[in-house]
Amino acid sequence: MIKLHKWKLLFIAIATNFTILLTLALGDPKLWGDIDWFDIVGEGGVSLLAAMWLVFILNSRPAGSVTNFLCLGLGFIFIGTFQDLLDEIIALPDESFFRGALESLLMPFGLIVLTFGLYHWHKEQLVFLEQRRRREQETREYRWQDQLTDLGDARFLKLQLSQQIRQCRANHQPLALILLDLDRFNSTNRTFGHSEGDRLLRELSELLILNLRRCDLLCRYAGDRFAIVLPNTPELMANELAQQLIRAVASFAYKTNNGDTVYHNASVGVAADNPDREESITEIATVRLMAAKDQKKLGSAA
Amino acid sequence: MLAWIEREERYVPAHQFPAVIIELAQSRNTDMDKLLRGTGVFWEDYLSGELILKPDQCLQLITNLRRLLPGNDIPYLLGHRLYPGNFGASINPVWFASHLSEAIDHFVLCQASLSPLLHIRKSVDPDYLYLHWQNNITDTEHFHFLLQLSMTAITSLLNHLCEAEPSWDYLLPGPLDNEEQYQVNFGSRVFANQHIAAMRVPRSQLSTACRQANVNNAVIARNQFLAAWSQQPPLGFVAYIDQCIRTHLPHQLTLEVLAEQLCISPATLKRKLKKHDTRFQDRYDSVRKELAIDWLTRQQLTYDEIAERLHFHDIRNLRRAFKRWTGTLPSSIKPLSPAKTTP
Repeated sequence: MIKLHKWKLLFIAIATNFTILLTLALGDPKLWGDIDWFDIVGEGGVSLLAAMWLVFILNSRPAGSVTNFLCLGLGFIFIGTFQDLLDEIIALPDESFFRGALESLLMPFGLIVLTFGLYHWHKEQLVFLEQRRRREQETREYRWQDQLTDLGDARFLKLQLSQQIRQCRANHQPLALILLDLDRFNSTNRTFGHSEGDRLLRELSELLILNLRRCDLLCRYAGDRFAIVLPNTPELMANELAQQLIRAVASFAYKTNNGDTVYHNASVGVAADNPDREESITEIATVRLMAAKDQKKLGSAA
Repeated sequence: MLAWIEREERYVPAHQFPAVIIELAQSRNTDMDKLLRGTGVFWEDYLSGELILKPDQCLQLITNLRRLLPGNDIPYLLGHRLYPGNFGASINPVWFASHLSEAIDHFVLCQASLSPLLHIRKSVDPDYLYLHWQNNITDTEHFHFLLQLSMTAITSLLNHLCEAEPSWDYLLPGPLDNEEQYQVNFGSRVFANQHIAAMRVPRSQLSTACRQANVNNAVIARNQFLAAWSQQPPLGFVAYIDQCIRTHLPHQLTLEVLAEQLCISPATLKRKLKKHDTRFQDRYDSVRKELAIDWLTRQQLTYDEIAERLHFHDIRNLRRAFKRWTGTLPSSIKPLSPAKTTP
């Protein structure tokens, strides 16, 4: 990422250099004994941290106006604090404009630009949040994200499920969970190769998301099994939504890299939250999913 | 030639077991230099198809993979991809087997090639056929990872070959660390805290027919395998030691007796054990623990008999040792309920 921003970094480096030269031109290096090491550590630390922020932010953002504002703001702050540090090593004449003035100009200006950048970052985040709503709802945990499908994994599901159950119970609302599993996914893997299987799962997760409501949450349970948390949803309605998902999966014509079309069927297990039952909602849904699978096997054997 | 395989002998063809690790890492866009770092493997040699790795290099490869891809689904993904892979003559006897029982026998026969790092042992009782897993060459920290991988691989292979999926039970040593993966990959009959690593299948299902059955091909493939691998000892060091202890156990066993049996000096044996990350006492305990659990759950021997067979003075000593091995008392070990027969 940081390669995208090499011009900005170069600009900041040149500006920093310029400050060093200017300060050297105007002032004289202090004597060893006159240097206040406590100030050096304090101000040097601030300057170093500002530089680190700059690198982290540039390294995690694509180019664009928001990045430019953040970079400019942090750049000013860095130069301001750096000048302050130089001030400790090089004695400037008292009447010089650079003594303190540069810092007191650059710092507030940098902070204002940074604030402006942060405001737009916030606006930008709202746009992405809406796009990712059905993947993360109100919680984000990058460590608990599945690398393949970009959905939350089983740990994320557990966390979300316990939060949502608590919330729904407090509001006396029903909550339902759907577990959805592909039939014969292993044979697809064997026939077309595992990279096709991986891509199928990625595309399937997009497909499932398109069929969900704004308040629903899709997670990857494990392997080819997905979990969908449905807050404020009675079991009947959850069954209907599950049937919609089954129909969507059944008519999904996945294209392999060779152009073959592969169709899949899905099995589901639906469970509603019930505080009186001893088993967890996930256990009930798993049992129902396995029963649905067995039913299909018996049906195909007969 | 030694009767067993040691950790720095060239033994594992790189295009077989290690290939699946490399392939998965590649499909996840992992940096190959990082994956091969410290293994001493060069990409050109790997592609030549003639590279034979040391078990040590395989373990380093696994260490690197686990660091680069920390996801908890990795062993299962590897397992699903492992067979038939590029195993050639050593997977064919399994592939062409005519029924489940033959497929399992052939798998156990060819395991030196099919499962180089873990040793698989077959045993039967009146109701079930058991497959037991243990470390083969070194007492590696990756055992759990390799176990998940290997169990998934053998399930995936045999379920694919059999016309009707066998109903496997999975008996695992410790608590389940990520239940969801077990549910999806192994189904519902997974039993945690069993202190052994095994899979079992009802003997009534052993005659299940296989899809690729071909009697002649199976015989030919078996002979080809035996010809190709006859120069190699079938067992790794740790598995070999365990086997010696197991066969010798009716008599008292010490490090010195064992060394004499192996025709090496006690000092050499000690050094070799250390080189493979284990000690005589660990091996002796591990075999005795396995047997004790076997006798408790499957043969239901009395404590007196077990104590005598394992060379403990009395039941109290057995209890204490058992507690040390498993963290629990022998009385808490119960036989597993048989699988529910589907109507």
